[in-house]
Amino acid sequence: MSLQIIKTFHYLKEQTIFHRLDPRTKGIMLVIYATIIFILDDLTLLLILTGLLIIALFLTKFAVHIWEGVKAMWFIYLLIFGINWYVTNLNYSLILILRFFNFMAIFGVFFRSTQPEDLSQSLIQLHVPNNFAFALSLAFRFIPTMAQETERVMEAQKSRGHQFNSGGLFQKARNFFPLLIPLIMNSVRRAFHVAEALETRGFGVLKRPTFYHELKWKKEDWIVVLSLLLLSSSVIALKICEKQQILTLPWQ
Amino acid sequence: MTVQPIECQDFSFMYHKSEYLAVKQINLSVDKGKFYLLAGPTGSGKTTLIRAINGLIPHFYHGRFFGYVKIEGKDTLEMTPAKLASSVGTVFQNPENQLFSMSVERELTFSLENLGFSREQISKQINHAINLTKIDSFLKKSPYELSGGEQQRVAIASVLALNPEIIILDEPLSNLDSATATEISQLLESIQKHEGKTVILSEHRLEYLLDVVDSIIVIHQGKIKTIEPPSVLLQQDLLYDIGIDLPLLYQWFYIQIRKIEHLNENSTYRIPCNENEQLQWLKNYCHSNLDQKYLVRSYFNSEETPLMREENRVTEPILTVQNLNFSYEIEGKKLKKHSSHKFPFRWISKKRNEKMKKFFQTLVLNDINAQFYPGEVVSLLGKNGAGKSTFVRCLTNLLNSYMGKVILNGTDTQQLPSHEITRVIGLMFQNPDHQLFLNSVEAELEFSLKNLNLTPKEQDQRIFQTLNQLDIQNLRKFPPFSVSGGQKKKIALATILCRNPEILIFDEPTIGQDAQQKQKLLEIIRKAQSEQKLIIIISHDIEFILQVSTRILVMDQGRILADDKPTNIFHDKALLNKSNLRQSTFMHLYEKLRAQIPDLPPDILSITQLERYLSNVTTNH
Repeated sequence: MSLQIIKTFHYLKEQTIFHRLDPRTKGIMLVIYATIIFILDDLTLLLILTGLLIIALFLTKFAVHIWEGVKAMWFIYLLIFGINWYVTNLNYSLILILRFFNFMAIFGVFFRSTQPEDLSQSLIQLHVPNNFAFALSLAFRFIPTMAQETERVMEAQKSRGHQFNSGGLFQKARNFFPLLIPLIMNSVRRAFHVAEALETRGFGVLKRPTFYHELKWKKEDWIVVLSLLLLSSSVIALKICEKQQILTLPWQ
Repeated sequence: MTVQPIECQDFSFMYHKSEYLAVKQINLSVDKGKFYLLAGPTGSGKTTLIRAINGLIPHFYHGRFFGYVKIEGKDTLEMTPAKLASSVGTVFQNPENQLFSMSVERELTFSLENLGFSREQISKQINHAINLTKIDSFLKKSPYELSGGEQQRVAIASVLALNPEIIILDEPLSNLDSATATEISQLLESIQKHEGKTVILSEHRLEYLLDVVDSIIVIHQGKIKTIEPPSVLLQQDLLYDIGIDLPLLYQWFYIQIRKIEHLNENSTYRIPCNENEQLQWLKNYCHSNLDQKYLVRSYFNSEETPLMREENRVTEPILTVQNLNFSYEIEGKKLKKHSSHKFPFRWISKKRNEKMKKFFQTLVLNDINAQFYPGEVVSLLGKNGAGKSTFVRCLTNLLNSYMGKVILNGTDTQQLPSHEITRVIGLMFQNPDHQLFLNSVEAELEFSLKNLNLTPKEQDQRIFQTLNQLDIQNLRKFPPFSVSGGQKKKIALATILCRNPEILIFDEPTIGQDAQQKQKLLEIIRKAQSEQKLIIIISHDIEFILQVSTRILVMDQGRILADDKPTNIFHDKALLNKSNLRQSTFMHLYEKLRAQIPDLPPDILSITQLERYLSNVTTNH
């Protein structure tokens, strides 16, 4: 269910190549890769790129989690595919599907391999205000707590004889009120408690707090960034050549 | 002259939009380096006072503020909570809400980073905090992966990292098992003794604290009644009168002594506070009631719990658990399919074996067998994380991907739809906020009853009966959100009780409850028992459990270590150690008492049982 999607994007304690990279490198990687995916509108090239990505996923043990996420979102995939096939053509809808998958995979890798605190720290170092950056990492911290609470409330209501899956579509939607109301009320309550604790721990005294953990730009980071730049510039070059009709791809 | 760590003068506070003062005319002066206990029933103003000390009042919670509060000589009106952070460290009730980081180490550095300490200073300070609290073994873990006790340690360490003069804790022990609670209170004591910190702790479970604290600040209805050392305070009526959760033994001594004083008016007696005095007292008490000729050998065979006796037991178990295995990682059904097929190919069986192996490594419940009979009160004891909650969730099919069988009234629960199971089993959860959502108590009960196909008249009668039984008839039209915590718990209980299930399961029913509320709960459980219902209780509150249980299951690491009468469980020292249980103060005393009066039966576990035993002996005579 929805909880599977959380798993796809939640931080995983492991030691993969991606975990060792600096969060800023991963940020750059995210931007460049996303741009490439957007620029490419050739199915074969996209397939090659996707193939490479999948190989990388398998090498870094992320494949299973990403696949779980894809499975959980099968409905959305079907929707994108179906609508676009109907509106345009098969080729284009396949391209869109691949783009969507690539996005999901790259964001999945990013969030699964980056500690939220590292992320917010690099954001603060990039002059994003402390409040926003911290709110981001706090949100990640409370994902498992909220998931657990959702389960608790469902269990509590079930043991009062409530059936979440009975009735027609409309009734089913109404069945979720006994879940949603306690959840929302508890979140508000929790927000107050967290705010109290933050106040007493000196949050917000300085605009830019000091950092105990240093973010270091290592050799791997340079390699990744440079190779990504190389990849993107070659894609762009390819695009330009194609436009100028200097070059035709062998399969066209 | 040295500055007092905390000084309040005529401090009163009224919350914004409230119509009465939460605390009234507080005059408080706290000595440096002492351990204070802030005691008072729920809603007496403990939390408000704590908020005033750490500066959340008036900077976070607004309202009308009278008088002044000074922390180390600085007026809190002029200091924000953040600035006060280096003088006052606060540990809140729920550790989960104050740990914001994904790793323990970052949690410790958090406040230091916020206040702009340099890297070297941070390293020095957190190492000091780590050494004090002994949390070095899980520095890299995430807070949500830790147990309750470990989380509490981390919360204390994160506060200590700033090296504040005052440490203030809001009910830190309420969710912990008895051994962990003792550990945490000892940790606090060592911080106070060796580091010279002033510690203030609010709590209404005094069991673990009476030996540790220097003074008790008694607060009642927003006013400070008195500040005295425990030894002085225990002699006075105050603590017993305002419904603070004192150990049963003290409450009993108090009643006895007041009785005697009532009989001979001119003499006064002291309530015995140390072990020797208490022993002497009990000895005299026994001698005055005991007639050597008419001794019954065993307490339990003599009376009170006839259901315990084998011949009175209903022969058919209502609930049977067979070979129950559960893991959160792997679904039991899938595995069962795997293990039931016989594959001729080797590689498949190898894969299967691997899966089996993985399954057994991640087991939360490991091969549990048990039978439950109507009319029993079974308590589940064990460390935090021993699998107790998972076990009851499997019983009610809330978790249904287990391997093994749960048989309810002769039918496998896997075959029953969930609403059929909940009709028979009522599971009471800890936190009422997880289930109350409608705008009147009546509507809540109607919601619980809607699937039972009752006629309107029957339904109305059920609601009336349930509310009457719990003494909350007057709340019928009230919204559940506006009532106090204790009342809310009662309403949550009503939403289950009104369904009149044959099996009642309570998950930690006594947390945050004062003496009176506990008594009510005991009555409810006894009544249900007399109606031949099965009651299962998960609790850390051993005194409470001993008053009702006919049987105890001790769990550890997903296995049932012992399944026996309470007496046998609490005389097995090895078992108690293994599962973080402690003998109560009374049990210690009673052992010594029996050394002196060998005729007493061995199976008495609480003061009420002793009293009843002795009165029975004399009346039989």
